Amino acid sequence: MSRSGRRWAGTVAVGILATASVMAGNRFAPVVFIDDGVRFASGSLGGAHNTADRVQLIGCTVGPFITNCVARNSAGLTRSCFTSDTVLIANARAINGSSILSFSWNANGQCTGITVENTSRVPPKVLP
Amino acid sequence: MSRSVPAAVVVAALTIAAAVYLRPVNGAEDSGRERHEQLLQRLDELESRVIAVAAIRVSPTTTRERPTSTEAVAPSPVATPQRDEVRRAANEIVDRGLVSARWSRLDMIQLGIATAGLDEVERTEIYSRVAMAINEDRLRLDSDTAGP
Repeated sequence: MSRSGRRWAGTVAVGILATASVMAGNRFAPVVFIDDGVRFASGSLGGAHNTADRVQLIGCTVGPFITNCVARNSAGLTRSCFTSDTVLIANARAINGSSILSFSWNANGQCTGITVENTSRVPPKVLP
Repeated sequence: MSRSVPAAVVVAALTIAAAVYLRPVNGAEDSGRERHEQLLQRLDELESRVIAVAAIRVSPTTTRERPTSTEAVAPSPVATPQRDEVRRAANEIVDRGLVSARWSRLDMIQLGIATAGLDEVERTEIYSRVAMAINEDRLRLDSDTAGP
């Protein structure tokens, strides 16, 4: 390959890498994490869904009166909470397929916090 | 809804309705995403019906037809036999789950239907039983139908 040809090939390679970098963006897909000590669970819907273990899940069922959130980590540990707090229910309504969901609970299983982070960093769920 | 219809009958009817609404969608060509959307739509319809039925069931006009002069003014019609029956039916759903140590998405939907006519304190009491049992590993989510 000539000198100019090598230069051209190098430019193309750099361009491809730069383009790929722009297309990818900053990615972060946390899997399901549960801390029983502080009664806290967190994870991304996409991260949980896209794992190969077929065990993890996280999300909330938002009903008219009660919202119920569930998380299960790769070890099969499952934790749940419910709430009728309108503020927490409103937070849960913001969940989508690219969300990072975190929730905490008390000894009675009532949610003490529900946080939803919607960010470009989290890849969406990929079927199947 | 007539006052003469027992709450258990209402709950049973709604349970059957839930099962019908949640039956698998026909058509092998449907993608998983389409089926999911259809299921959510059915759940929305079901939820709307439940709210309507619950509103009728706990309406003061249907549960307090004959107020007396000695009757205390209560903020909500909580102390009726009909209401007790609704609460008992909801607790039975939880009891069945605890006996089998399994809790499915359908169980959660049925519980939502059964508790629709209860107040917040009553619902909290019942849902607390479920959440505590899950968090104490006494109740396992059904792997095929696990919520949420």
